[in-house]
Amino acid sequence: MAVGGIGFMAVPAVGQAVVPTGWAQYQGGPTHPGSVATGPTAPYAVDDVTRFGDLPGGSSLSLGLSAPVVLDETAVVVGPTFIQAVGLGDGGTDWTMPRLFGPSVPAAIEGTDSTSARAHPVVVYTEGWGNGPGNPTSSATPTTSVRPGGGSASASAVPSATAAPRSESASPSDGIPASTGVASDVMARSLVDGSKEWDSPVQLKATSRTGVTIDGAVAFVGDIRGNVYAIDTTDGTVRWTVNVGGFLESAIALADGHLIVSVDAYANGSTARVVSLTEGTGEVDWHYDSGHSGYLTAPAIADGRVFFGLTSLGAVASVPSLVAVDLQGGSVAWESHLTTAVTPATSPTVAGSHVFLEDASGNVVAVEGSTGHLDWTFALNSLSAQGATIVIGNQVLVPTDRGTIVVIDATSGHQIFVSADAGGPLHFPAPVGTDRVLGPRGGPSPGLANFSHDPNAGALTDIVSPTTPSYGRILGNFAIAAVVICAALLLLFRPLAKRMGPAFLVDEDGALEATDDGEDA
Amino acid sequence: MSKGSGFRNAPSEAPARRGLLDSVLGYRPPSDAPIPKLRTAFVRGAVAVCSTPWLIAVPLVALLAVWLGVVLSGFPGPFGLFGGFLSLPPFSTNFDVTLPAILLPAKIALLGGLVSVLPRGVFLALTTGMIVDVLDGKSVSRGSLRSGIRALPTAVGVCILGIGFWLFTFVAAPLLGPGIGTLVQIGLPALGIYLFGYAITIAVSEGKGMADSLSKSVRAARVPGSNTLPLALLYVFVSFAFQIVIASKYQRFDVNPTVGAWVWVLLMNVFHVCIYATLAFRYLAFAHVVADSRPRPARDRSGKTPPLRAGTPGSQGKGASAKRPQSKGSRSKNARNRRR
Repeated sequence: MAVGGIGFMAVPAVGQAVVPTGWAQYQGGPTHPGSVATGPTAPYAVDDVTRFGDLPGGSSLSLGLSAPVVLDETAVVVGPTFIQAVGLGDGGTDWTMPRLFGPSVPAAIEGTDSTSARAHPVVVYTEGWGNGPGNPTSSATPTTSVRPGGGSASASAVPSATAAPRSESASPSDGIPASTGVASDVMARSLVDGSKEWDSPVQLKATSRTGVTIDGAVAFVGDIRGNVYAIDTTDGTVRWTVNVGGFLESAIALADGHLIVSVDAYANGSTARVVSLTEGTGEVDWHYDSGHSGYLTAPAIADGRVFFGLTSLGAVASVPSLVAVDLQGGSVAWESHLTTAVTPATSPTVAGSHVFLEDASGNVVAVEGSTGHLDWTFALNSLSAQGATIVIGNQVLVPTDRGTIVVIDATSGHQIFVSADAGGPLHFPAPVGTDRVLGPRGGPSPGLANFSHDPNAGALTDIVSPTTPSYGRILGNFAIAAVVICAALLLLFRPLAKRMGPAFLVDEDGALEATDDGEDA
Repeated sequence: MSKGSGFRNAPSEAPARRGLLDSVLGYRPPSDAPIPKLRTAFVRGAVAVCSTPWLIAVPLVALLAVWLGVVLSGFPGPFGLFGGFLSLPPFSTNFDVTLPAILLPAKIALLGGLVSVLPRGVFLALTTGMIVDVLDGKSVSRGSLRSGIRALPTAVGVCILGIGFWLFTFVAAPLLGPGIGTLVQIGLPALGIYLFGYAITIAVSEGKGMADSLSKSVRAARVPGSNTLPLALLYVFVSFAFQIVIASKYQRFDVNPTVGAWVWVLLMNVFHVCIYATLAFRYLAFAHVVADSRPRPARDRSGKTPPLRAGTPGSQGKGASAKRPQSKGSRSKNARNRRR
């Protein structure tokens, strides 16, 4: 049961090197580790909440607020009709730009370092519904043809001339003419003031729900028709596109030149897969085929392995599991059975030698990354339609629909703290520096809640999961119930049985006759 | 068209042509068999079970043993699932398949469901053995267990048939939409109980083999006035409703049930055993009017099978379910034998 050395080894994996500081992409970086070695730990107090106006769609999966991305003192969240930078402290910037109405999926921040062409960081995000949310059961036919150097968005890249309804108030990308057709695209803005970085947005062939993953100066997005795009962030040119089929709705992960794409398949006869593409060309390296229709979480990459949750839609029931495959070659390392389904919105978290994942019913599992051995499970018994756990040091932070952050000790699997209610369901927490955790709040009054380390916020506890058996309690409670039931039934029915007499009488032939005279008509 | 118009013969003059489902849905004359009311049968069944310590203790202990076993195997809950633990097949098959699906990896989950037919068959057979003796006015003894063990193949057969019904329900219900699909979800398990609900009692009380017990159960269900279908529908509907209530009340992943949870789930399972007894009482009450298996006609030397003649037991039409003294005699002989 010991999770040895998490405190020492909980180091963000490969991707952290690309973006200098912060939590600049979904789950912390292009590998989606979801963990930091040091940061604010429990107990937490809710400091303040940055409130947003009412959002269309409330806290639903595709609308609401996206997972925040953070660089230094600025957080960026995507709402259905806007993208907003929120200053979190000194040096932070505040701006809001309208956005084509579309799924609220995470943006990504391209930072600056000595090799960058720009002097300021850039936010890349997707927008627009395209032809609508799409029908996940009508998967596109996969192709592996690569179109390198496709150039910037052009009319030829747009497969349909049917435009989604647009309103002026929700048409921020004024570079897109109203007659362009499908209104689903990728755009880049300066993190400093929100100004446009590209002359025009990059048109997509269908709605994007994957969010953006950045490596160096290339952004990667996928769409619901199985297209994956590599876009140069300096000028918005499309380096290549490839169609992997299926329905892409989870964030794309990236490490060591491999682009890992979760391909969901809801149609009968299609299969859920994980596809690895060569980062530079988009050619398919390998693919893992689940053999069933189903859906996957976003992948996380660490120590040469790809981890993802899989929900297979079998003939009898949906079968969830946590799977590890080798980054080089895609061979299956292990598969660990889960209790209930895992949603495409979430992602495993990798910290040290362990992988953590929360399923849709609020069961958090800790699995050894090398063997797939289940070390512990903690049942929160709280539905979790969206959101992902993060690990800070040796603490697993689980956002709940009850508006709290539950903190579980990564070694023991015991609950050590529950925060105060932040006023609405929490989704994707993100650490900010060393003293705060940002909790995006959904529901009727969305906002960004600031949780800070506060020793006075409450004492740490040591509560075991309700799924840990206490045989004394089981037997004791059973004994009480059984005695009560036996006594009640026997006291009531034994006199009744004597009064009613035998069920059958033996007649003169020795045959049995029912003693009751009541007969059905 | 008026009767005797000359255009058609009167119905009595020519035998009616037998349709495809005539054997099942055709006319059956009313029976003069003394069949107790559903309410009477349930009260008798409930009194037989609830006044017998063994019949209360066995399901309670079985539930505790299985709960401890699955918890030791890593089952995280929910406990509410166990409200259907001792339900009758094919209603119980949902439990048998859901439990391994939570507990085991996908590749062996269905296998776990298939394996569960054996312990369930053992429980059904032994419990029915005890119930039949209690209804006969005897106390539970080793003889009850022996007669139950003899019925084990039949009980396992009923459980296997239950899986077939469940699979068919699972495939058919989604295809038929939410309205008719829900009716199918209730109707098909009820059909399974209707057809095979008496089989284990027949195997226990008459010592018949699996095939004979199953076929006689179908005939018993179709005895006019037996009201087996309403009983099966009522049971499935009530169980379904209670199962939803209990499952939603105790849906937490928690392996340490409270006293209240134990009380609800144990009572639900005692109710299921009462239904075993209800079916047993009902069958024993009209067993004498249920025809035995149709004997296989011996082939003559030419290899042809002689036609059945009226008056032989096997030639009785489906509607000819009048009182059968020979059946009653054999039943009473069994009863007397058991008394010895």
